Amino acid sequence: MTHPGLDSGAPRPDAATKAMGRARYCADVQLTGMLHGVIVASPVASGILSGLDVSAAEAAPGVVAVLTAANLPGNNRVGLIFDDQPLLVTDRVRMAGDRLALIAATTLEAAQRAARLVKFTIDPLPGVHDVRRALEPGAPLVQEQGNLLKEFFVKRGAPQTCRDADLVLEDEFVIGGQEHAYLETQGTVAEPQPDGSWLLHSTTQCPFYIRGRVARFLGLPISRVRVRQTVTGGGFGGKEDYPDEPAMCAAALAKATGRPVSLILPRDQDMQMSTKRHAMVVRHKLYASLSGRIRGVEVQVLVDAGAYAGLSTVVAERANISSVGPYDIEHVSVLTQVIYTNNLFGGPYRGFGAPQVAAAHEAQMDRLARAVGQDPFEIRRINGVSAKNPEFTSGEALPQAHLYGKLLDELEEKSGWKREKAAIAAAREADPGACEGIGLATIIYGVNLHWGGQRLDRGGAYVLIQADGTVNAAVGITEMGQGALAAMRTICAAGLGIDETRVQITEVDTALVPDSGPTVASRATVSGGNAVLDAVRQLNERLLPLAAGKLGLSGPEGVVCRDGVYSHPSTTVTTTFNEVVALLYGRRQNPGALGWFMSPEREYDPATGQGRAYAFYTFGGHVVRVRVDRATGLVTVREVTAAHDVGKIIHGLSAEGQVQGGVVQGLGWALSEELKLDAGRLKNPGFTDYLIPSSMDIPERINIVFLEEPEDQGPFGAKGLGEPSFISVGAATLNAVSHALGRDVSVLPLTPERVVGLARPDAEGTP
Amino acid sequence: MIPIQMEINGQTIEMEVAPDLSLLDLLRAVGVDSVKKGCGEGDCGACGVLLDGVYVKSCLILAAQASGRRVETVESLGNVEHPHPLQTAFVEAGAVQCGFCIPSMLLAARSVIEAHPEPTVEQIKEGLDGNLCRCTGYVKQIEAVQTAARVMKEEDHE
Repeated sequence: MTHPGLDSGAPRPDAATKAMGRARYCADVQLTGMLHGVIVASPVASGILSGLDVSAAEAAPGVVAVLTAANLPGNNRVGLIFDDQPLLVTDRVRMAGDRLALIAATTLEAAQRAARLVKFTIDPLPGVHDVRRALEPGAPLVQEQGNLLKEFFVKRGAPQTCRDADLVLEDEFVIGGQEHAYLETQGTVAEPQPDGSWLLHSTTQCPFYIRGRVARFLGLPISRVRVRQTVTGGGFGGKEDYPDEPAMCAAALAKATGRPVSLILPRDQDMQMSTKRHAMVVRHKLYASLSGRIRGVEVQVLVDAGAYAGLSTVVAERANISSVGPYDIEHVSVLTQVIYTNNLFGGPYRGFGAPQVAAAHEAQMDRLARAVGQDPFEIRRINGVSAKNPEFTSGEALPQAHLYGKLLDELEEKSGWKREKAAIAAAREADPGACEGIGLATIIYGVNLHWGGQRLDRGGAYVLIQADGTVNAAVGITEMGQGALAAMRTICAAGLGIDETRVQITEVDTALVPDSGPTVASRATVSGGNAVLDAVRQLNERLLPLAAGKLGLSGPEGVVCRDGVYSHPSTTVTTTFNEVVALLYGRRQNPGALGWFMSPEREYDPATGQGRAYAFYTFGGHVVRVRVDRATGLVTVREVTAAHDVGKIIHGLSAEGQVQGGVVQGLGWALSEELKLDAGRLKNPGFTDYLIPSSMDIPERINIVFLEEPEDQGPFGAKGLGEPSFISVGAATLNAVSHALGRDVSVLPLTPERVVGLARPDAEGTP
Repeated sequence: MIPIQMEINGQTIEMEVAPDLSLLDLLRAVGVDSVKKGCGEGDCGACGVLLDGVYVKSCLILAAQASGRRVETVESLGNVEHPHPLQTAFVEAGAVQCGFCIPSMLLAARSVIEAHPEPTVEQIKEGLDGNLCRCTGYVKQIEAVQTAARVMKEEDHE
């Protein structure tokens, strides 16, 4: 049963402001005396900066400051986990987009003109551009300590004992990266305050990260740096850690000039410099019996980190544990290697490494199905986690393992799988040239932070009841478009028993709410929502006894508030929320509460990948129906069915929006979005030839199944949905195209050029 | 510098602009910042305006070219007190996520309905083809345009 007040159908709180054109994004912040900052960046990916002359730029009209590594007024360090990246290049250039100089001028045009006057010489060095060769002896070194940044493992059972298995399926999957393509580019307006403290207005998912790194840059305590999140025009992981870099640049220029500086990246720089979904090579080997039961899996994942660590190791940690899929398999060996190259800067992106490895494990599942003559759904039932076989790759017995089978049943039904497969087979019978296909993929995902990051898996919220019975709530998790504010408002209102329009939610201000960790990992609803509920619980402990008194009861047990009215089954007397709040104020009781959430402490052994990797998990899956034009290579997606184990729907419109948006973004990654590199330089840094889906590219139908079985750790039982909505789309599309072409496919994205190649009768690979 | 004058959301402005200033940069400079810069190359569509009633991408038009003409942005559609049926439909359908593409998309949607008072899904998709959205998958936006078209037709009959 749904708790009253959830999924009321009310529009999200920020929608009207945005639809009226009144929302203020980072570039809309205008301050008196504000300067405009630009970055001068290296066009080459590997070399030595041997000459840098900024004198002409300094003399250009309107220019107020030019900064290089030599006069940078702060700590020239970027690294969040590893100290391997300067803010401005001192000598070594490691990626195209490395920053050489910063310029602040009175107008953006003046700053841009001055940027063209900076003279630099970079003596080229050989670079590393193929992650498969980066660890070979003699490969050029991206970082002095070597190109292998870190390794992650799963060691479970003894895969070597499987070598006599009936079937061994082995392949190498080459999976492309992806540009986030948030419509609002990265940026910060840095505003020095009269008292020497700082206020930053930033487009970001993680204001607390910006605060920390800007404070480190300026050499200030974190209480002296305040970050206010501006309305954020999309994130998708791209605004997790990367926004700290333009923020540090803006702060540097503001420090040097003593004036506010707005630094907004132009699209081409944003695409070249900022983090991307990692390109990965996944070597996947599967041992199975003729019954279709998998005995063992061996996986090697090569993660192309680019030239700097950023959060690549954190992404790889998730790819590592996700690389087998939602299956209970006795013998598992995974080696995940995070490797430096001179390619694009790898980082967080919706799914955090899971979509890439899912493409491999789900392609392998379909190949196994074909090899043993089983249906793709059936092969997943045989191997999937279940109440009987509940152990995930990490060795954890999953309390909700039974939901995987349920999800398969609902996905099969809703997608019309059997009917569609029969129709495709009949069409082929009639016309052997017909090229239609259908593909399935499923995933398991920890919708919270991995054991390695559990210290950040927390959340805070401040809830304040005003004297007129309205409520202000400040939360530490961010709205980036996904609907977090709507979810927080609904949770707060439902917890108090009042109408959600009474609750005003405030976007993050780091001076007002506790550091709630990053808004990533699909954890906003759970970490923010639980924090809100903790505050609400404290407030209800004060309100309910007062309400009980009004109802003539001796104690608060059984008193509930619904739609702003308190009642109890034993009496017809009621009282309103406003009356009780008036009493609270009349008695001078504290009308505010700071709520807190932390996920449970977990044990995990990184040497074996065994233990409790995540606090809890969700299952998800997609069925994708395609038509392939063999002549042009064009893949048309006719229908997608998405199924998600969401625990509980908090705000239905937003949940559906996440699923629809995730599907279309996933189809973009799978079919059209290709990062074309020339020695590490992006050849398509714009939407002219980096093709994200438009309205013309969407499927005819997107069907949605939500499984609602509450998760004990979630607010009202809710889990997260932001990333699962994306993760298995690419894998299902790969399987659908493979089905249509009648041959193995081991690569993403499936651009028309590639599909034409795969469709040729003489193309390599088993039909 | 080139002297220009134009009507922006009913207000006439006169000023001198650089010959290479885009209409987008002019609008933002005079405080009409519902018009967004997502790429500056005419690809993303976040900068759309109505120029003499015709939907155009303002980053591809010089301010000087727009001299003597009428420019309308989302502010001309409606406001919180009196929203346009398209704005209401977008809000109620859940068609707004990050919102960056929305002001411009609403203007494109108005052009769709003007051309096709009862637009088909295909006509809406074609009409919104130049307005990239990375959040929604366009599904709810297409539904919202259909809803708004119905409401506008009913209002016409009243």
